[in-house]
Amino acid sequence: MNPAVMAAIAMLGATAVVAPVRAMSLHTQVSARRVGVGQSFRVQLDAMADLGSATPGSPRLRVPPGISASPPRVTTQQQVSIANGRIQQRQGISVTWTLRAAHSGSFRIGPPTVQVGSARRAGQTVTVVVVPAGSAPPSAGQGSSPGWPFGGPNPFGQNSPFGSMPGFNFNFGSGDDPDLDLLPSYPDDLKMDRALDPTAFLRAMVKPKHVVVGQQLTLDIYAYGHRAPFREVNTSEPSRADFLSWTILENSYGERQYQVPINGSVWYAMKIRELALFPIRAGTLTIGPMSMGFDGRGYPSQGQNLGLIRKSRPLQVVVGEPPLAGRPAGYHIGDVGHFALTAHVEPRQITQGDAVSIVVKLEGTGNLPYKLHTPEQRGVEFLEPGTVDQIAPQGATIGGWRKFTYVVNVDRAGDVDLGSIRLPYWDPDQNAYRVAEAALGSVQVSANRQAEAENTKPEDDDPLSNLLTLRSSLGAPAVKPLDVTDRPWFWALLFAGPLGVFAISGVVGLGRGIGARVRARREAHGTLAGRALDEAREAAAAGDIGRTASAAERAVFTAIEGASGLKARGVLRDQLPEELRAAGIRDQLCDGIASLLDECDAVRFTGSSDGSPAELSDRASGLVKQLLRKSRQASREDT
Amino acid sequence: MSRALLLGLCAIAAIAMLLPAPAARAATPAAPAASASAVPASSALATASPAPPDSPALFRQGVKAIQRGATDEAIDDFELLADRGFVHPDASFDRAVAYVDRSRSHHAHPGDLGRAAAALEETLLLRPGDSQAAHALVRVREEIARRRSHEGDSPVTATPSIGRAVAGLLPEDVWALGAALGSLLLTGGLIARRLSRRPHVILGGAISVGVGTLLLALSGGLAAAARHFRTSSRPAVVVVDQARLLDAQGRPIQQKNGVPEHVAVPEGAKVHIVGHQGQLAHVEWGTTHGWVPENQLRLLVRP
Repeated sequence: MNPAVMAAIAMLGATAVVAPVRAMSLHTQVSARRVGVGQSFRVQLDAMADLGSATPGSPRLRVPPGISASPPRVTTQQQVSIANGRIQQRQGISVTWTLRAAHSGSFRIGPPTVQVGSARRAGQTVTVVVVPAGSAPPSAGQGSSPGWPFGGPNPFGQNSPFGSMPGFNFNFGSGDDPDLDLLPSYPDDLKMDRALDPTAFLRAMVKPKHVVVGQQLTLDIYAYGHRAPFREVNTSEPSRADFLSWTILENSYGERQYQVPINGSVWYAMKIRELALFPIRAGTLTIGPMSMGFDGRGYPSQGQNLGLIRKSRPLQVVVGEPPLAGRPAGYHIGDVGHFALTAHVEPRQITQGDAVSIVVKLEGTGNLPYKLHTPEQRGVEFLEPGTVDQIAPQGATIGGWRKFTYVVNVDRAGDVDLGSIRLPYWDPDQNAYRVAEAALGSVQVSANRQAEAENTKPEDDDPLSNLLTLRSSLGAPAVKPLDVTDRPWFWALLFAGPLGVFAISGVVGLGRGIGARVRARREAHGTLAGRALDEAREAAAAGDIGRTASAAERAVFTAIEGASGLKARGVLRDQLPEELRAAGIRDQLCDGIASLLDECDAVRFTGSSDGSPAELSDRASGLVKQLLRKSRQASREDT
Repeated sequence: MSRALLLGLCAIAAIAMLLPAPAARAATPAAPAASASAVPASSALATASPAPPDSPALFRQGVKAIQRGATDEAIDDFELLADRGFVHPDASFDRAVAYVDRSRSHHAHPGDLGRAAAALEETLLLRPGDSQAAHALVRVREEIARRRSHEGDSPVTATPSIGRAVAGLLPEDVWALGAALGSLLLTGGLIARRLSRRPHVILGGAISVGVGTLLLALSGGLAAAARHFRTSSRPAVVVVDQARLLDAQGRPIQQKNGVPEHVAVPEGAKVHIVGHQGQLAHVEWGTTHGWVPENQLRLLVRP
């Protein structure tokens, strides 16, 4: 035996238990399913038996006419694997035949057989299609074995120096990629287009990704290593708080490792976990990452016994609820699967006050509920059931049965129909609700006076008895509030009234103010004096000296009143200069005014003037300007 | 006086006009924590989807189930009605009947009385003048308190927050009507004062302005407050024996020196959900705030 194997066994022997005997396993492989005429291909049979049992030998391969086979090449194999703390040692042979087809056609080859003790055991028959030379895919690796770096057939088996060693492989991987066409077949689930890491990685997949609460989804986690075969160490499980979970594949120790081509190179891959998950609530739920240490040649450990640690990516699953449309009464969110109910009632004849036993068996796949709806009626009381179940993975699906044992008290005499037990559930395959139902039939209950008397005893003083009177019909519908405060127009109207009054008052007041100003302006001294001057100019232009003098005089009197407040028209002409001075008008201006007024008087009495009407008008205009300037100055000083 | 009144009215109007409509609130980024998120998307809660045509038949089926003593079946029927979005005070009332019946039976479930209280609260929301529901709600709460005291728990009550208490004195629509009446009085008074020179009319106008201003400010303010409470929170009832108050991280709140006033909310108590975070609901119970798991609450449906 190989020393490495011996060392491994010695190391683990203290705690491990030798595995129970297993039957012989035979595994047949063919290097190509489609070959050309004259092209060689190989058929390999791996025959392994538990250590200590008879060693396989005398291999034979039956070939059809048209196929020639070389003598078998036999290598011995030994295999040590550890699963669940148990060591399994197996030994056997790997037999390889090289075959060649003489003409085209479909050929059934084999099965290859080996002699085990007194019996001859057979592998599997393989079918090979032989096509005309040149139309078959190019043959690769002739004379070499997949996974065997030294050319020629791998003397220790297909993938490792010791053959297929699930979970405990001492293959000193080559790092060179053998011809990809010669790789043995592998599960489609392991296929990948590109590697997620150059050395090793974990890949988590969940199917399906859109489910309803209670519907099973399957989480598969695969490990890929590029350097060499590896084993799983230092694993942490993915978190899954929002799911009920069942383990389908607990660890990878019993799993076969496959060689998988990824982007032109060979990777070692295997499934390391398979979990059945049942979401317990709706929403976008997260499945946490799983971490695993890759232990093996070429995988640098990140600590003592840690291996090369890699994590899978977290996954998100969208979980909804089954539709409301068509939902039967009594459906509980989470009851999803395929179920059937059967019931057994005994005895069928009892005395009033006695009990019957009802055993209900719920069978099916999916999330088997823990509670069933029991029929209710007065005088029949179902007590809490006892349950036993046997639920386990059935392939990739969780299923089995659960038995509910009810004790049912019957306090009513006569032919009592027990009704039926129903389980509404959602069938995800049919996208429809279904109801599993089991009729319980009836029991004959003979009267019992004592039980009858106990039934008619008044109830204890219950504060809730007769509290509510059932409403057997729908009355007035709900009072729907107006919710006017949700409407912006309500708030606008609420304040529009008072604010509108203020706004209208403001506008009216403003209009009144503007009107008053206009009127005041219209009646101002400056304005009146200006009008009189305009009249004087017009008269002067017409050569009317009398009208010019009259208008000029009026303009000056108005301007005096505006500048000093003095109503000069009522003042004697002799006293006017003094009054003007007293009113703060300069002497020069006073003299000018007196002179002009005298001239105007003269014109009025004589009808002529020394000067022209235009001169008179201009003089009046100059005086008015000076007086108005004084008026404005006084106004500013007042302000 | 009128200038000050004008300024006050302008300020109130500006604030009121700034209040966004409900649709706009939902679209506001800051709003979800208060309003939109107060409506969890769970089928256990009634939704606004139109009721299918067979809902009245389902109601009758539930009634018959109660009459023959099949309370579980009745509860299933009435809960399915609620799930379908069928909103009717009598359906809620009969749901309360079913839960009360089951709470008195041998197969009572924990929280049955809380669910009955929730159904009765819902009845009162849908039909505020239902005296039988109001009376039954009081009795159910008394029974919950009695059972708590049997188990050694002292009855607890929460002091309502002043804002909610005052705004809840009258329905929101009544406050709105009062505000509208105040606005009318104020407007009429102002017009009378402006237009008339008669002393008694001016006096009447002044009184009208005073009363109208007071009514508008009070009712308008309370209508706005009631609207705020309605849009920023959802009423719910505790449907477990008691809902332990947690912090935002889900850790139980510890009482130190009497603060906070309560660390748990008893069954049947009415709370207001003001926000959500994961599976936790942020609740306001009187003046006490805290987080509780959503599945310990039953949201009440508004008409």
